[in-house]
Amino acid sequence: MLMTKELLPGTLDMLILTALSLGPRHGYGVLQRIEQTSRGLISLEQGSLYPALHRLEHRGLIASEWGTSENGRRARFYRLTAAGTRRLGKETVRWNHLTEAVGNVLSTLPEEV
Amino acid sequence: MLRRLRSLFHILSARERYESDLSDEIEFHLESCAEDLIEAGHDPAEARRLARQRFGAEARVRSETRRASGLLLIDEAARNLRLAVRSARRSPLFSLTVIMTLGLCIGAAMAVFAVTDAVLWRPPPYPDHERLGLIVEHTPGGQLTTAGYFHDGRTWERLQENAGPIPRAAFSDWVQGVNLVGPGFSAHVDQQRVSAGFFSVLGVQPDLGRVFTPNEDRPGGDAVVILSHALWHGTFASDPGILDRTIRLKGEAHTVIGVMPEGFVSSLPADLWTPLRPSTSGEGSGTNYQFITRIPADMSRSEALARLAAIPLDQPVADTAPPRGRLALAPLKRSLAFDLRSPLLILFGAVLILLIVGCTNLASLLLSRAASRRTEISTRLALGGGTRAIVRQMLAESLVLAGGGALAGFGCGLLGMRGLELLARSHFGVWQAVQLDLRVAGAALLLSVLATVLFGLAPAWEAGRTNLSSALTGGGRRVLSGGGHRLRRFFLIAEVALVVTLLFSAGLLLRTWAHLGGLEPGFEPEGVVTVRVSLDDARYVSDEALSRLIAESVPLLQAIPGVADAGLGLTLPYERALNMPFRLPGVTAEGEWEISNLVYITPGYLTTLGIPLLAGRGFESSDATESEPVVLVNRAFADMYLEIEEPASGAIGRSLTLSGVDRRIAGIVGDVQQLNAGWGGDDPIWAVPTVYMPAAQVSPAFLQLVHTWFQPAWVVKSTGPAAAVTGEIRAAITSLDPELPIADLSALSETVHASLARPRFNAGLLTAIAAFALLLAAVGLWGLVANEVIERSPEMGVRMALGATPTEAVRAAARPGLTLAGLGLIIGVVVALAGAGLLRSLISGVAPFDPLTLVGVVGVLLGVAVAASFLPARRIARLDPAATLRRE
Repeated sequence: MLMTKELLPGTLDMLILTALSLGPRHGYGVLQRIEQTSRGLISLEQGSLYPALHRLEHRGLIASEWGTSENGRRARFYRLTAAGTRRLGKETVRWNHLTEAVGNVLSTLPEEV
Repeated sequence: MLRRLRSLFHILSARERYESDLSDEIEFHLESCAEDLIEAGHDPAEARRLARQRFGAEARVRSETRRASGLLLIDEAARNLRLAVRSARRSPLFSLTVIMTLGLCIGAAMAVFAVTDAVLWRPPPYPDHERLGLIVEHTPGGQLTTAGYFHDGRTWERLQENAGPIPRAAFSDWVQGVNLVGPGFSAHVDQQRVSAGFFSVLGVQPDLGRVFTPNEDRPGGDAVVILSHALWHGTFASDPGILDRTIRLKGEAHTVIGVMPEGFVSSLPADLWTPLRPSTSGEGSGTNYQFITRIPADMSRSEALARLAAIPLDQPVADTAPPRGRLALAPLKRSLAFDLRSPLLILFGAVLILLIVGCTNLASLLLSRAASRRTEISTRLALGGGTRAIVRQMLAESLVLAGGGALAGFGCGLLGMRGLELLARSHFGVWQAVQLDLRVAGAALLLSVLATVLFGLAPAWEAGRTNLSSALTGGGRRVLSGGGHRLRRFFLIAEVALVVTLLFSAGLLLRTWAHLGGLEPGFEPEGVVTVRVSLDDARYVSDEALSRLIAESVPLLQAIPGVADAGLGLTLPYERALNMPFRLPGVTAEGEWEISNLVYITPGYLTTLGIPLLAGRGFESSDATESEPVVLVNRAFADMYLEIEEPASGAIGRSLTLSGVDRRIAGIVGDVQQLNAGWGGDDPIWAVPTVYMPAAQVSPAFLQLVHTWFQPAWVVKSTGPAAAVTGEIRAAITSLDPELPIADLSALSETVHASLARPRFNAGLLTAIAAFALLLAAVGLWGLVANEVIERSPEMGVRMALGATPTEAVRAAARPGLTLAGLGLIIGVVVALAGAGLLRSLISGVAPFDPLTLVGVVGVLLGVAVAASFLPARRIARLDPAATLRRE
């Protein structure tokens, strides 16, 4: 199980963008989504989510507005902006390249060199 | 970037809401998490504890979130500003000096620029004004003198015959007060006379009605008038039916044919315009007209110039008279205030120097402050403070000072502008609104803020290069790098040199003012009241009416209790008088003439004013129309034209030809000061050669002519306070003619005072600027020496312990200040003497290299330099050598 600090820099941002790409949700919902979709492999320090959310909003990648949650409470909902969607696309491509490259390196057997 | 800024602004404007939203958001998270945990089987208290644990340290999350939203930068900026304000208040003297220096320099620059701009630089408010110009006459050598702006009726005829397609108009630049009488009111209004075509050349159409036709603009044409918007609005209550109405102007029925648009100005402030009716006789026989033109759209400037230059001018009859030059163009913008150019430019230059001195002083002050803060900064660096944080703090401090200075500057500027406008309007024609120019305010502001910020950052810049250990262990002793020292010294020398040039200029103008104010007036103004009326009035055209007014008014005034004497004259001392050509039979060559001022007077004029009779006799009531024509001349006239030795009575009995009549000189009277009437030198006020004529012997035609230019004045001498008789004087004039409005009733001393307005304005303003610059230089010197004292205290302490006397120590500390002041003084004197020629047009009665002024300036500067150096240096004497030794 990966803790927040073990994530590569920038990864949290990408996870948040991905979580929001499926539709608007509040901070706690983003957290649940990440933990679910990672099939429990990632466990975030929950508080660290908020600086990341606000930073992304400050950069204009996501936007927020207040709404009502599923249990009828006032909650802040985040959604992806157009810029955020573009960024997510780029980051996904970059991530796939990186993992492929690293995977290739790691899976190379000594006799193949 | 824009989005970020917007979000920052949004956050900033809703800072409180941001915090409460963040709390809500976190609260929602914790509660949602706790609910999930309860669902999973935890008991409620345990669930809330777990939720908090999983969330992490809430305070840290909050601060990180705030930083992520860009809030911390703002917090830091706010904190820095708060710190800066506190730091500024901790050294109030320093802060006040910086803020007031900035304020006064920016304010002075703004105010003087605004006035200069309104008078000299703002484009005239007419469409396509670049094509407008005055037609002037260049001398054969191609020079443009003041006389070149004024033309006679013959030149107008030549222009009319030959100028072809070039539109042109003549006008009189002499605005006259005239009588406007309506049902139930009589007023004295300002009239300007312009020829047909004047308004169309300017490109301005009347709001109502039409302009003058050529038919109305010839002798004997219909009496018509065009009103200004202000007069129509005020006196005629915006009457929509004003056109074709008849108003009584100058005692004659005039038909109103037009009303000009609101805010329209011609060359001078006027309430109404009447046709000029240019001619070659009367007014047109002298150079009393100005010509304005607009270059047609299909003609280039050089074509127009060539066309004008080709116009043949009537050459003078006498061979000895100077030959005529040729006509040329002067751009309207430069021509309207040609006599104000040099005083205003000099004033503007002085303010620029002040601005430079101010900025120099600021730089020097801030550098010295930088020195005193070096230890503090080194300590902070040594304790791990970031350079950036320090720079940010210094920046904030500079900005607080600059901001305060800018506020003070705008305040001073607005106040100064209003004050200067009031002064300027009463002293010379400011014909456009004086208004704040934001570009100039901005430029002055930018310069000062730049100086403040640039030199305010010096400590931080130094910090980057500081050798920490040396700065700390040195105890702040060697406080400024060599470069900073040299820069400061250079600044101070430059500052002193500039101040010397300002002081010298101010000194010359003060001496001019003193000279003009100290002239022997030649009469006794005490207790004399003057009453002025316009006799440019159809009811006073006839000799009879005029003679009756004069003959009846004087005894009436003399009969008022408390009145010692009374008389009437065309003009008063300290005024500009009429000048006239005359000939001395047998002396003046055929076809030539001499020039003199001419004043017609009644017998009581000389006695009322106390002008002494030097030889012969004064006028008597027997000097009437039919009796022998006589004149009186003054001493200056006798000296200039009659070439007689003492006694002056040698001139009595000779005669001079004036208006074609030989007139015997009956007496010689003392000189009085008069304003320069455009001849006989550049002195603004001097004892002009003058001929006095009995009012009774002036021909009616001549009276009518001069009354279009001058409003004659009664002079009344009261035995007691003048205020006691003014009511009765007014009543006496009104009883003679209820429809004759009194244009002005004032003490003669006010005329004298008003005549000195320009030299007083010039000297007063420049002296104020120079004094302020001197103060700045003194502050600069003081700062330098005070700094020297702090810097060298340990060294001096040691030297005193080794036997140096306190006096020697004080001298050593003061020496740098004195040396710099001395160097600046020498440079300044050289520059001042080299530039003194620029002031030539403004000074009178004093040489441009006046030694007395020079000695005065050197004395004042040395005095101030010594005081500003020794007062702070005295602190050295109070050093305790033992304490210094212990510290070292």
